[in-house]
Amino acid sequence: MDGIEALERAYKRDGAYLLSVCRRYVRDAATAQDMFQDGFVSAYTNWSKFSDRGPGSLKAWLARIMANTCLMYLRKKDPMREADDISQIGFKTVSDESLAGSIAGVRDEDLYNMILSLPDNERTVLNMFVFEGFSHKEIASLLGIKESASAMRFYRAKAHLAEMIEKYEKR
Amino acid sequence: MKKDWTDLLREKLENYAPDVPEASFEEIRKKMLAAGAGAGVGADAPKRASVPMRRGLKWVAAAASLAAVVAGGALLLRDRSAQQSSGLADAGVQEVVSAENTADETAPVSEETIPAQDVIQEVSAPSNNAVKPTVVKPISIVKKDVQPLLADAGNAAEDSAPAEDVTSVPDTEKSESKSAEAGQSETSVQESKTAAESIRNIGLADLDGDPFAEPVEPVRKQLKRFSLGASGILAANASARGDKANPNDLSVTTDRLGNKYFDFGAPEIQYHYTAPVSGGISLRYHFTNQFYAETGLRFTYLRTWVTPSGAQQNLLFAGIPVGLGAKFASLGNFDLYGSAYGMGSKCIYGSETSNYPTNYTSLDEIPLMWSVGISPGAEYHITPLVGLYAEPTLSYYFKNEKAPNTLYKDNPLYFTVNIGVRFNM
Repeated sequence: MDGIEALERAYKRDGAYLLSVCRRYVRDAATAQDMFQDGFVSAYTNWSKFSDRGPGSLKAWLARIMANTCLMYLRKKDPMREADDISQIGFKTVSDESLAGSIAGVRDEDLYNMILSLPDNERTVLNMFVFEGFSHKEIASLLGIKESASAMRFYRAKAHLAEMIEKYEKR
Repeated sequence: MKKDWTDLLREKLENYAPDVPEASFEEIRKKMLAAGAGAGVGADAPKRASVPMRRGLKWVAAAASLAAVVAGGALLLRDRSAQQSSGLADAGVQEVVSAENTADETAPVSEETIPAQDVIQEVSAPSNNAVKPTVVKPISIVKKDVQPLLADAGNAAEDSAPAEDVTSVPDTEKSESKSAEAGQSETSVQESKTAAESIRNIGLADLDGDPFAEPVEPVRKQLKRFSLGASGILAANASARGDKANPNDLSVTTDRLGNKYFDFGAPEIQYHYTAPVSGGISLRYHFTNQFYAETGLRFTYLRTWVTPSGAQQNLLFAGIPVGLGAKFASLGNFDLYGSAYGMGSKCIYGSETSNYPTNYTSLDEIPLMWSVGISPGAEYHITPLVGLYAEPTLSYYFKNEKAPNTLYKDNPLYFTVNIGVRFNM
């Protein structure tokens, strides 16, 4: 199977999933569509680097390319290098248990929109930590920020998310 | 166990995809071809990941060693069993030969002394019709002890009738002896029987069997035609991990402006496997006491998880093994045997977390899993009907690129110990 044929199959089978990866990083829907297309182009031009490790490996590889394409886009926008206020003043402390309980009661669609409404720098770190499985050290390396800054953005994202869920529950 | 909020968030949203791509693939194809032409790339075939063999070789060595020990033990036990039944007979024959040689070379047989073999022949002659050849072996054992016993028998004969009256008849009485030949023969047989009685009563109590008793059929275990077994498998290792990628090998490329980004060729995901959980039933049909055919139904539960995402996949396979086997030896309540089998397994249940990188949309897409194996085994008979068994098994799972990533795909040569209970009917 050549590259184009494999990518076409992946497009048909995993297109929506791959687009959702882009949407999690890039809030604007039209921009996410562009990232999606650019990601496929990047996959084709780098096809020789793809190592087929069995079912699912192409999907994971493409998801990584989509995330990478979005990160490069965001880097150009340069929101990652903004000064980080490492102070936690003003953010409510949220326990993991209570947040887990709250998340369980939120509809997927609403939760998705809550994440999209997070600031870019917080959303990016949250995505990389939660969905890509990177450590703060790895995120810091990839984004060119300090590890403590990555942890702080994650903390803020969590606090923002808890705040939105609290409002959601009071509706 | 409570889930972490990040796990919950990932499960809820990993595959949540409300948007659909606006561009058709034809549009993307044009962009790809344009970019590919500019970059000078073609549609190269993807590289295949190779499975490291070192771990497999380790298990091969372990399994081969175990198989060699079991097979060697089985052969040793079989030889010992054979020696127990025939070795004593050989020793008896040697005794007889040496006794005969001694008699020929050192001590001429007196006329009063009845050669041992003659006595045996006379004694056993009346019952020849009833004695089967299998009884011959114990008789030869008796011969080594028969000389002193015959002395007693001879003394007994002397008490009742002088030896010369029987064996050394004066010439003058030869005519009488001719006329009384028949009666003397009867007397000789009776005396021999008396000696035999002495042998029976005095000298054989400590022997395995009475050579003069009615022949007894060798004790044979009744052939059980069918065996029904229920088993579970102990995996050799508690967990295994795929070596396809090292999570620490996250490849980051820095461009000339100092920007860092993922290397597209970087390892993507790493597969981890928990020990397989397996159980089932088996049915044996014994052609003979030694050979049997075996089939059954075996369920195997395989769990795979990947890093860095932590996504999981759980698969349940149902397999039908078909094999042949043979019993090597029996020692007391133990049977030692070995078998070889082939098995086809079908995935009958599957589940995965939403973020698992799979391409399957239905169980039908998961191909059959084929394997072969060999297993020496030992069964301990608690009762004639019920036995406990253990079967170290070395299996080989044939590779199929379309198969899901499981422990058996990453480690096609796998060692397990199958234990269970078997009902012999």
